[in-house]
Amino acid sequence: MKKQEDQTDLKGTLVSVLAVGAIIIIMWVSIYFLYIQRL
Amino acid sequence: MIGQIAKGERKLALANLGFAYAAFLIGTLCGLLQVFIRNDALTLPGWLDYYQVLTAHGLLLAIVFTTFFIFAFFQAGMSRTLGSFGPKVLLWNWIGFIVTSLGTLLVVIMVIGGQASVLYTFYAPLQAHGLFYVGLALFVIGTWIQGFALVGHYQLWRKQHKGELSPLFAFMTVATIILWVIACLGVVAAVLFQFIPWAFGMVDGINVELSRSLFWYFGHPLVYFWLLPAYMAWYVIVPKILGTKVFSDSLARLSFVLFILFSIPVGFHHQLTEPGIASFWKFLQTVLTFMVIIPSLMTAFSMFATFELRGRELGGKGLFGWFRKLPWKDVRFTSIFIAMAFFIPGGAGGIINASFQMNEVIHNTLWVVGHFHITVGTPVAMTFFGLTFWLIPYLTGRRFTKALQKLAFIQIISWSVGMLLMSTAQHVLGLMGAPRRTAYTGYAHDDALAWFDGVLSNHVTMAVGGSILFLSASLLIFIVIQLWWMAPKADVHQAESFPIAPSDASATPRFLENWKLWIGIAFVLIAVAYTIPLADLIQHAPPGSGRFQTW
Amino acid sequence: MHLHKYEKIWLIFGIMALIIFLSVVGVSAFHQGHTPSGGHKKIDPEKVSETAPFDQPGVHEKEDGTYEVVMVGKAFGYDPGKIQVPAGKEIMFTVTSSDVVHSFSIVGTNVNMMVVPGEINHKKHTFQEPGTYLVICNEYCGSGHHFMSTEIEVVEQ
Repeated sequence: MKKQEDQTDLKGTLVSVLAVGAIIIIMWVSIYFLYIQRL
Repeated sequence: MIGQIAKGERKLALANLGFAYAAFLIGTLCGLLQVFIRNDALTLPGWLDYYQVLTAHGLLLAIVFTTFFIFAFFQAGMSRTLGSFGPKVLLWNWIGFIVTSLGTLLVVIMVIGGQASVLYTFYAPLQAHGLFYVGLALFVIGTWIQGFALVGHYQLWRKQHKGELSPLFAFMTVATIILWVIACLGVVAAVLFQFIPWAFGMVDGINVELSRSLFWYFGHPLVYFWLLPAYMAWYVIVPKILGTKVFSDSLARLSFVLFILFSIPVGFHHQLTEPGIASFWKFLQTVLTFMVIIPSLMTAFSMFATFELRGRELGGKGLFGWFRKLPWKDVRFTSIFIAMAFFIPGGAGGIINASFQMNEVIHNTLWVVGHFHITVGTPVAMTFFGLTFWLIPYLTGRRFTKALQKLAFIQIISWSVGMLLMSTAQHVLGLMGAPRRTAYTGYAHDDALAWFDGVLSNHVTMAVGGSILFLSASLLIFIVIQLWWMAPKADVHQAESFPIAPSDASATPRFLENWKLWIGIAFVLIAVAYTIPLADLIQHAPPGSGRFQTW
Repeated sequence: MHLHKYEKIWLIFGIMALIIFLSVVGVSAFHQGHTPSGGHKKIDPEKVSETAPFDQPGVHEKEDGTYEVVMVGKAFGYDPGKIQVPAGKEIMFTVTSSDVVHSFSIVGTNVNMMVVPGEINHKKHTFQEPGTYLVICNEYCGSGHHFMSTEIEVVEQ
């Protein structure tokens, strides 16, 4: 049962959530640099 | 009719929905007025002022619309998944509804009467009329009564189904109610022991920083009280609309448990730039705030996985072929998908807001206004719109006709466009230093003149977005009225259903439904995060602040 | 409870990102002294003008060459009004309120302090560029909230 589930094809999901992660990181880093620039 | 709930619950849920949409209509109209005033295009008559309108907008949309809608959804869904309410459960739900409504009316009367232009955060030492705080207390008590009545219904079910896990919808409802009751303890303590004695003149001073801390102990889980019902729709309703099952029953339950644990001991991240709380405690709560991001990361994965698995079943090929196979023509799905998409920048912005000293970049600027319009104002609100499209006809026995479906598409698309314009402008203006909660901002300084210059970084863009949003809101009210009274009656074959996806709980660990355990841990975390800083605020209290009515 | 292997990858990735965010702000705050504004001293909100240092609001040069700006927020303005400070010098802003909650927020900088009655708030800042800076109140304080602003003149020394 477990094995079968791990074989389910979720490549698109992985790429999608990593894209979400990339958005989070890009937004966070930009505001962090804005903070540093305003020190 | 199969899947139809009893008449008593239908009436109850409709009463809550009616109240919710009445608040929605007035609240969005207030939003439109703000748009014009902020751009110096409208002068209000003497008996009405900007901050009165702003107080009404915030209270009616963020508190009244959401709460009444959420209880309608819970009541209909609990009856649908656990069976009809007994007479006691039904009666107490009605009593709760009436108390909540009376509280709301009292608050609204005070605001309209110009006695309570204190905005929805009602920060001391701005002092509203004492009855405003009584109204708030009644509102909370009413929601507790409805909440406890629903929990009573759930307990009855569990007695009759010993050893079984409850249906996912009921589990999530109970988790959300637990979260709400624990969260309200803070605001109830502040209102009963600080605001009411002070506003009625029984004591002369109020400990301002303590009242703020108690408010935000409530204020952050409040946003999860809005979000969790939307997540319920995402986890339980959406897979059914897609024609599939819940991706993982155990992970869905685990994420709700994590919300109970980590959404409460985090309120200081709203107070990062305030005196009176040591940096250590602010940082500790920042760390706990980051813990509550994890269940949302889990939710993101579950959603995409549900879409991909179903899209592949329907023949989608390659890395993203499944995406095109999703039922885009079904507005019940598309609305919620757009809601989810808005939560990506919304959630990312939230991480920034909570990032300790980075909060200084955005604190109380228009960025924050943009932020909550792409969290509660779209992900939550548009999920509720998506539910409304079938929930009202389900309750009234009418049909969501093709023509109304087209209108619904126009409604959600115009809401998205309006929100995109308004919230993007607000985010950018906030970074440029434009403050929140201001009437027409005529500061004579180059930095402030720049707020009226540019394409996205412009108050005018914000106003265009806001106006589109009001048109969209009016359209939604039209659809609601149609679905309630006008649309043709459905026969047995056309009747709307309450979609509940099957969820395989066979591998779900039983301890996830051990509420005593989770409530216990939640209180331990709250005690760790709050005991010392709150005790410090009480022990080292400055002389109290007097009563101020500066509006 | 079973986790798909991609979900494990995603959660590890996400949690690592969160840990990095926290470490970056934590080190910057506690090691390099960039904590957000704060303070633990209390004051009687009705006796602000009689209590040091608010009995002498304004700009004070200290012995070590740094400056302190003592400022009181009240509906709907700041006391003192327009001030002048040098560029390139460390300035400690010390603020409180004599009535309701306000903010002391200098546009274009990280100075964005809540001004809470009964509490004294501090924030250190060094202006690198001379010029006129706009100060606004960004916490709702009443019908004149949107008129509550002042300016800081930063001059080359």
